[in-house]
This record gives sequence, C-alpha cells and structure tokens, in this order.
Amino acid sequence: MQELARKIVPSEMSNMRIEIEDFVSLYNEGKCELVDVRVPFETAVWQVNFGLKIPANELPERLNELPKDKLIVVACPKTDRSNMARIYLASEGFEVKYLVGGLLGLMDALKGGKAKKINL
Amino acid sequence: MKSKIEEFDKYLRSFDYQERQDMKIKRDELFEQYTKGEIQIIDIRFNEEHEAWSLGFGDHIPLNELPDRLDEIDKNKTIVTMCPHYDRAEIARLYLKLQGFDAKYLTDGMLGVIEGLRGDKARDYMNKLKG
Repeated sequence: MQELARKIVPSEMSNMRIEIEDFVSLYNEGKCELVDVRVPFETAVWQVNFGLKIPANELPERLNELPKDKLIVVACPKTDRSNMARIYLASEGFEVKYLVGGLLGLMDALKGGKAKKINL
Repeated sequence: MKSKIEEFDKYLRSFDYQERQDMKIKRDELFEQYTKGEIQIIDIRFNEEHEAWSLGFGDHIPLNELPDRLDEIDKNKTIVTMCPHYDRAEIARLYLKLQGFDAKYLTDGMLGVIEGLRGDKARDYMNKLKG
C-alpha cells in the first residue's frame, strides 16, 4: 500500500484510468477485460452484454476469475466504486485501470452506428 | 379504406396541446405504470445496439422491423417506445399511433433510464416490480 500511495501523483494518472475509446480499441484486440462491479439488482435492470460481472464486495473471493494476462478495466455507472475497486485490485498485483466516464459513458458511446465499434 | 396520408392528415389536424402532452411519458411515470402492468415497453434500436447493451425489461423490436411485427404488440396496453434519446422513438410512436395503438415515446430516453436506475434506486425499482 505504501508503494501504491507513492504513485498518487499527476504523472501516474494515465496508469490508473482509461478513456472509453482506448478501452474499445484494446477490447477489440483482446488485450483487456471489462469488469462491471455493480451488485446483482443493478445488473438485472440494465447491463452491457460483454465483459465480466463481479460485484465489488465479492472481488476478494473471486480474484481467480480475473485474467492475469490482460489489463483489467473496472467500471461502475460513474467512477466512484470502480476507482475503489481499482485500488484494491492494484494492491493484489493486477494491472488495472478504471473506465473514465463509466458505464453510463460507455453506453452513450455505443449507440447508433457506433455500437458496431465493439467486437462482440 | 382511407389512405395512410389521409390518416396522417387527420392526426395532424387534431393535434392539440393535450396530444402534445399525451404523446410522451417520463421515466418515473414509466416505472410506475410498468410495475402496474399497464405498459408495454419497446426498445426500437438496431440489433447491433441491442447486442452491445440492454435493459433488463421491455421488448426489442427494431424500428425497421416494426411494420412486420405488429402482432407482437399488445393492443390492450399503452405502448412506450424508447431509444437512447428520443428521436427514433418518436418515429416509432407516431407510426404506432397511426396504426391504432395507444402509443407514447419516452422523453428521458434509454440513457436517462439507466442514469435513474443506479445503486439503491435499482433495488427499489426491482422490489416494486416484484410486487
């Protein structure tokens, strides 16, 4: 955690977060995995139809479900929970970033013809 | 048999302040009526959009398939059309209206719905839906 704390400087910001456009590119190349950290009653009412769904409060018991060979991109509606999840996963040794704009931004980006931008 | 244009003419001639209000519905009212079983919700986005993300309720009938799938729409319910914002939903609403359905479009759009169903609000909505 000490090492993590020392990285809280402006120059490290790009290692903590990823823009939606960059996420889509990496996802299409198979280099990252999305993790929706919302709880079940949230994913029941709306969801992106790709990526993993692991509630933030279940991450400790489900670390084995996360790929070690890809960048993990955690997401929640905005960025509050996902950033907390990111810090936890980073402390466990994962390469992880949170999605800037969150799931709300991602769904806004994937509408109309732009929905075809993501390879499903 | 009146032509479709004549029906459209008639609709426009009768368009008034009341219809301007009746033709649309907001998110909160949508949830209220949907949980009472009074509404059929239709996502009219293209297939690729629906494949990317979706709501956990409502039916999906792409706008360009609407004419051929009218049998999937309940004549006894108020129909609410939705798309990410409201532009395409309004086209669907108007078409269904002219086909004799009681139809409205969702003013908040699907993006407004997902914004309103975050965290505990999603739980509250699910609980209301279960009755």
